[in-house]
Amino acid sequence: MLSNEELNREIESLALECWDALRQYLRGSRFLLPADIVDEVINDSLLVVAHKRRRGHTLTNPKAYLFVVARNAAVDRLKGLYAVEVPDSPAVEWMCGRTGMLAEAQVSLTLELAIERLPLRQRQVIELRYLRDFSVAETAEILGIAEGTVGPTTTSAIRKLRQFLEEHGETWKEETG
Amino acid sequence: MSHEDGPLPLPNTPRADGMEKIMAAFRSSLARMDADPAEAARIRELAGRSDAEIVQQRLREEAGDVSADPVRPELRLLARADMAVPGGADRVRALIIVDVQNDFCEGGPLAVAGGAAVARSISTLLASGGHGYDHVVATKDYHIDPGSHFAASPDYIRSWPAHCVAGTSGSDFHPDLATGPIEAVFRKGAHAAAYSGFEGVADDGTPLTDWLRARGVDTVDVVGIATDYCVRATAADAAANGFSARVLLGLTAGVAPGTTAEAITALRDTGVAVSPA
Repeated sequence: MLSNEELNREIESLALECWDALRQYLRGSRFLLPADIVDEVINDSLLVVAHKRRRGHTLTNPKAYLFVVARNAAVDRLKGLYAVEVPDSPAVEWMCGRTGMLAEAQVSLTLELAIERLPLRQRQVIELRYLRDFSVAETAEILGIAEGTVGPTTTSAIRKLRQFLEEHGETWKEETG
Repeated sequence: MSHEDGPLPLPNTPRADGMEKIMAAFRSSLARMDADPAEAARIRELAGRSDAEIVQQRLREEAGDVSADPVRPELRLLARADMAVPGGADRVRALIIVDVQNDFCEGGPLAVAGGAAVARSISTLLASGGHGYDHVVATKDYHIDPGSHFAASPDYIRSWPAHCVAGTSGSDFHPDLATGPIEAVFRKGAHAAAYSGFEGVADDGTPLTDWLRARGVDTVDVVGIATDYCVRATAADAAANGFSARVLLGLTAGVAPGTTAEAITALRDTGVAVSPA
């Protein structure tokens, strides 16, 4: 049985090794989580590792395990952020970060405007699928909708984006490859 | 923006500054987890979900499906890391008892040799306090008008004599099967052939997959009748739906040795474990 002292030492060593990479991962363009939420997610992930170790589980690659748990905890937080209709303070920070994400994606101003004008659900699907590289299943999970709804919502959104761009003299570029 | 260019970097970047604060926050959270059952349950749920994801990823990797998740750097990293799946204590396990019904046991129109013995063996397992299953469910063939599944001159491959007709005693569980521990029964095949229990629904219409997932089940053992048909289809669907699946061969009965051996090989090929008991 692992003593509390041994457990703390293990967790500290793991945190030392992974903290920066985890922060980079959670602050990066997929999750774009605010700093305070990033710290909570990492803390939750360390708690999971501690829980496993206390129960006698051996993790041959605790770093990799930590990333999987962090990803799940981050998706949980994203669900909360996407569910917020009246932005509270972390959501405001997140929304600001989102604008940066569009710039990072080198999206034209017209396309950015077009995305902003989409109905809420369509905008969310476009963000998650194309700007954050989430899969259909992940997008459905984060938004709490059926996987089968993601495709048609994406199609409708793209139709609107294409129309908006063409009305403003830009052409819609299909991404290939 | 995708991370497909390579694995996520995991540099050794000691960050001594601020680590005291981080560890203080961690210790305080650990104490809160120990004191608050709801917080402990939240962390357990996160652990269970992550473990289940690792199991699913491993199954996909083992099945050679490398394109399953092209935008998940942390999972690709994991696949490369050859990480041992964490032990079983956090698994939520279910036993799926397939079609242990009168018509499939001795005396029925589609009797499988050893069917009644399977019913008794499953009951013995369930009577032992330490069977270790968090949930026990059963499936039933339950035909109303299954079309060409029934035939006057059946080929015993795709068509069969009438069996397990809704409302008849043939569709009842075998009397030697202990039904007390069974939490839900999933009926299948009302209007068409249905071999897999995952085609079945509970009384309230809930499909088996949804029922198991709602309870956090990630690991299933499949037993019952017949090894080479409904047990095979149910176990294969369990794996396809992302559950870690195992067939307990000693608690199944097969129609014929040839098709049973074929089923065992096919199941192993799709990532289902087949163990003697």
